[in-house]
Amino acid sequence: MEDFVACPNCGELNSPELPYCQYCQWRLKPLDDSWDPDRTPVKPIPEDSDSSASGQEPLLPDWLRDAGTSISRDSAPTIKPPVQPATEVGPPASDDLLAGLMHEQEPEQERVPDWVARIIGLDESPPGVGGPNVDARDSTAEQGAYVPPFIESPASPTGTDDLFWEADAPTADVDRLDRRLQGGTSSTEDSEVHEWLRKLDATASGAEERPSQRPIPAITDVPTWVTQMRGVTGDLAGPLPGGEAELPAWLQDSAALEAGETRARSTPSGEIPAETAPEPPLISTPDLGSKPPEVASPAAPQPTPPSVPAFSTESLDAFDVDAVFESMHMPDWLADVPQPEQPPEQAPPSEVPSEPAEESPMVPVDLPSWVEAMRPAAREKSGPAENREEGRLEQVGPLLGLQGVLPAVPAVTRPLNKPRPHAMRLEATEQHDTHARLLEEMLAAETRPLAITAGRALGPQRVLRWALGAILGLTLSAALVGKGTIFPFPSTVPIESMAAVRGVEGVPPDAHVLLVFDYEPATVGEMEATAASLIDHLLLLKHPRLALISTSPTGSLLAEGFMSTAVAARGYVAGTQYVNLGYLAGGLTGVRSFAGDPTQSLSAASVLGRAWDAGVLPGTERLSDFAAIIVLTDSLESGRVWIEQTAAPRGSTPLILVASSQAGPMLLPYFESGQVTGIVAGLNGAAGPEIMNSGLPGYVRRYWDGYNIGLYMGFLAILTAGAWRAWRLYSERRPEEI
Amino acid sequence: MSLEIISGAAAFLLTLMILSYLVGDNPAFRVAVHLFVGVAAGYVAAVALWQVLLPKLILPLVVGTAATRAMLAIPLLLCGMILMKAWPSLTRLGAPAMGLLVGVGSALAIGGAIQGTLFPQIAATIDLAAPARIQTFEGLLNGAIVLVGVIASAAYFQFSARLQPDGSVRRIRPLEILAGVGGVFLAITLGVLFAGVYSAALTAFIERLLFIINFVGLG
Repeated sequence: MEDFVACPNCGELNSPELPYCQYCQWRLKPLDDSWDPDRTPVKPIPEDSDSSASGQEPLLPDWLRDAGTSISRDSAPTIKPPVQPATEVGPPASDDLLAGLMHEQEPEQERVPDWVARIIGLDESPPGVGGPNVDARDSTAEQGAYVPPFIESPASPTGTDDLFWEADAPTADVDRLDRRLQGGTSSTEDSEVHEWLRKLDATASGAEERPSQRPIPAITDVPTWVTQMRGVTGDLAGPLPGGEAELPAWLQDSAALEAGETRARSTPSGEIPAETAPEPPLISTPDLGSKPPEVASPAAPQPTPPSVPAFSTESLDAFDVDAVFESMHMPDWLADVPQPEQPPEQAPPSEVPSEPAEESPMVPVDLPSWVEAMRPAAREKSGPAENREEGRLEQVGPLLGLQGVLPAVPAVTRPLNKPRPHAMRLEATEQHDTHARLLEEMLAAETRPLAITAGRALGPQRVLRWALGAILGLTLSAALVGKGTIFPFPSTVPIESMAAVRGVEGVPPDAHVLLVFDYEPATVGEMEATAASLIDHLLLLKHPRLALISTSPTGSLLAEGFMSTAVAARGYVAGTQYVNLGYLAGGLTGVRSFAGDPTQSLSAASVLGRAWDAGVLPGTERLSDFAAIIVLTDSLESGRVWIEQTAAPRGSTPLILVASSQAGPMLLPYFESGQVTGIVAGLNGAAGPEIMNSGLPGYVRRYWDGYNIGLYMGFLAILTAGAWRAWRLYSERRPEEI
Repeated sequence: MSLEIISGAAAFLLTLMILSYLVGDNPAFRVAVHLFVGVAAGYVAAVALWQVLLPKLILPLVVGTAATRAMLAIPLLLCGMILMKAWPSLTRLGAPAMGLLVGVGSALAIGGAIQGTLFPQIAATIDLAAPARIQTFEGLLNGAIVLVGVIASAAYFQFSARLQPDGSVRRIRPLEILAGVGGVFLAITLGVLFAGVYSAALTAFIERLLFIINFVGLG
């Protein structure tokens, strides 16, 4: 004997494997995943057991238990399964919100109202049995339960409340409807649209009185939306004989099923009967063979009697059904009743009376949304694809049974237990490839061992160096020993040198001139030769009093050497005609300090008796008091320091630079800008002052031949070396090209 | 033997020892170099002592007035802090004095460079292209060379570049050409500097040859 589970909502029998009731989609299994069937076994109730389902359910409220008791008792004569199944609900699930209801243990004081019983699927009882279905108003009044006003108030036959009231009418109304159907549309009541609905509910309550195979009479006042529904759903039983009007197949099935059932369900919204309702989605379809014959057999399509009269659609065309329903005031409790929508998967096409839709002459029209929502056949035809467009049907959780509530996000609807495989493919552009290739080449070059070329013999290089040195030395020595005039002085004097001479010549006689010796001992030969003619020209013409100072520690010594050798012919005596101020410490800072206040910066020196104002420099307290400032420097930095730091303090005092050959070109822009009065750079620049000084003291002349020979030799050496290198490169590439 | 002959002989000998480097590194050259370095260092120390420390720090502290001594306390402290750099563990104490020197030096250098070099040189460069300077062909040529040289040399040090389709990084074409011209100017400048160095060295060599010739009596 196979066990069945009675739906607590509709009371229908379901397979134990089904999580949902296949008739009303009521959840049969708790939501908790940890629900253990063994822990909450569904025990069949013995047939002879006097206890009803409510008696076996200690957790149900009394009124619900009573409803179950009455239903089971009322249905006992008609439903004769081998075993009356009942559901014994086990301990409540931990997360079940209705757990409190299940634990209620109160005496049976309340009886479920009939209207509630009908709503929850227990509203049908066979006529004659009595009970609440006979007179719901009386029953509810006696029990003292809450009854909506629209049920208590005796509404008019055409009122909206009366619509539901008449749906609870006893079987006498059904007979009246049957008579109407058989008698055509002559009655005035036939023009009321709710009559057929009343008939539907009446069939639900008193279906056992009508034979299931009873031919459905022709109904001529079928609403338009009902007739159009036939054309849409396609599940109707084909055109009836007569052809002028048809009864919807689902309506026929409902009537047939209701007639064959001992327990019918309430279909207030006119939905398809539960027997033909599709099974819940994503739930294993129960095997119909395992169902009791009472459940499975009514689902078969019933043959349509050939004598069914057709509906007279013309008579209902003018009837505004939508207005009637729109004018209805739906009570809150009824509006809150969930509409058990049937997913398309629940209705196997085999269970629906199939008829090609193209054979139906009806054309679908626009229906009210709530009517459209109640069309089960349309949902059957729409198929899963259409449902997917509408939205996903919630299977679990508080949104159970609702469709399209949550957006169907692919990432959410996708199974979460198995990640989607992603192809990890690197998309590299040509630029990336180029960079990667360059990086690889760099790394390869860094790690590639370099072949150490065999060092060339040092002998030839050394010989070459000796040879060049010897040639240069001998040539220059020959030129110096000969004292000839191989190379004459240049005919033109550089403009900067001429300006320097003019600046020296502009010094007032017996004026104070500051001489700065900022060169190193290594450049003494060049610096003395370069500056000698200019200084000699100054001393010869103006007889100034000189103040010697140096920012180099060795400068004071070089200054003394210069005065004793280069201009020794002028007979300047230290302490009387010139004073050596010594070393000016601090470099840049010292120059700035000296330029700001010469006497203060060197005042300490006076402590030793070698004073600033020992009589050589009377009246010279500022830098601008000097008649001229002549800087002898062999570096760019030293000359720039004196130019920059003494610009403001010196005022209009001429600044003349005597620079070496390597520093002269870099200091030349200061002459172009007017910051320097004149520049004598190297022997080439000193030639002009020596010429203008009548060839005295003659340093330039003595150096001039050797200097020019050395320049030419150097030029030839560079040119020869370049040619040799070019020939070597050419000779090395030529074999490779060949 | 007079002092002049002795000093001349020493100078002649040291000159030969230095010139011996022509045949390669040798002990004579090393001895001469060490001798020059030692003498120079000793001379610098003596100069620093006699021309800086004694007259500017020690003697004022000894014989100076109280105000002078008070004023010299700070330099004395800074000198002592700099001396701490001789010990690695105390080198941090010399940081303030070094910071003062570097800061003051940098400020003076930057200020002097801006006021004494940058602005005057910019003005001079602009003045070379002044109408009064380019009335003659020589002035026009000089001004054009200076103008092009300045712009091209500045463009040579402009290293902003774009990524080429072939993956290489290059400057834009006009800037590349201008930078090439600037490179020519820079090469000429470096050549001039090398010529100046060679000229200075040649002059010094000639002076030493003259000394040798005169010393040996050939002059």
